[in-house]
Amino acid sequence: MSSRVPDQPTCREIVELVTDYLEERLSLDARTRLEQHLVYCDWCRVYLEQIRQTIRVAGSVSEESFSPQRQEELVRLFRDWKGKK
Amino acid sequence: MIAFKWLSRGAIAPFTGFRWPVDGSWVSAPQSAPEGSGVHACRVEHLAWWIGEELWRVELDGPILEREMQIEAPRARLLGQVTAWDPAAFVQACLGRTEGFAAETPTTELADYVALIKTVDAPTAAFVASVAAVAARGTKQAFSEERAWQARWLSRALDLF
Repeated sequence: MSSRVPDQPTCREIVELVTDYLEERLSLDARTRLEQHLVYCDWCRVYLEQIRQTIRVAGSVSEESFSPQRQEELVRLFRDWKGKK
Repeated sequence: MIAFKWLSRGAIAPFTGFRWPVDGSWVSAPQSAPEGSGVHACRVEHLAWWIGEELWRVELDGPILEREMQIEAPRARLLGQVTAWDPAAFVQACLGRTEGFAAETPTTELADYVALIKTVDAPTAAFVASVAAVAARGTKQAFSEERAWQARWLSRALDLF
């Protein structure tokens, strides 16, 4: 459907712009086009909210809030994940 | 200046999450915010681009910036909710328009848009009807023309003059 729509970003373009949007780095025109897309696109609204929540949760976690055991566990998980990539 | 503002349920700004005071208190945009971060609102002709769950009359104060799809002011306050806003009636209007396009130009694509509109909310119905207009008329200009038709419908149905 998006090929019929003049001057409207696609969902793929929105996903690429979300970080800049949340960091207020988009031009006024780009921000307006992104928000216009969010009005009618449930998927992109959900995606944006997921990113917002991730930032919120990640921002509230400090290294000290984990026990040494949990820190080791996280490092091991991360190494395993990197090893699989 | 009196204008309109679409909000999410509970008078919440859909993009910032800001909860607007419904007691008529003035709200000012932060002065250090980037360009375009004032209070956004709609003239009647902008309404169809930003459809939301609640429609409010707002009073804007200060220099008004005119944008293509909205206006912007340094401060504003809510005056009252437009309680006549009926999303289901609007979806029906969009459905009627799209059925008209499908009757004029009977294609599978337009039949799909008719079926789709029956399953979506008001903002999406407005979008789908505008896409259907492009499909039926064969010009990209039909998209904004359909938005203009929707704005006129809102103006009439909600007595916004």
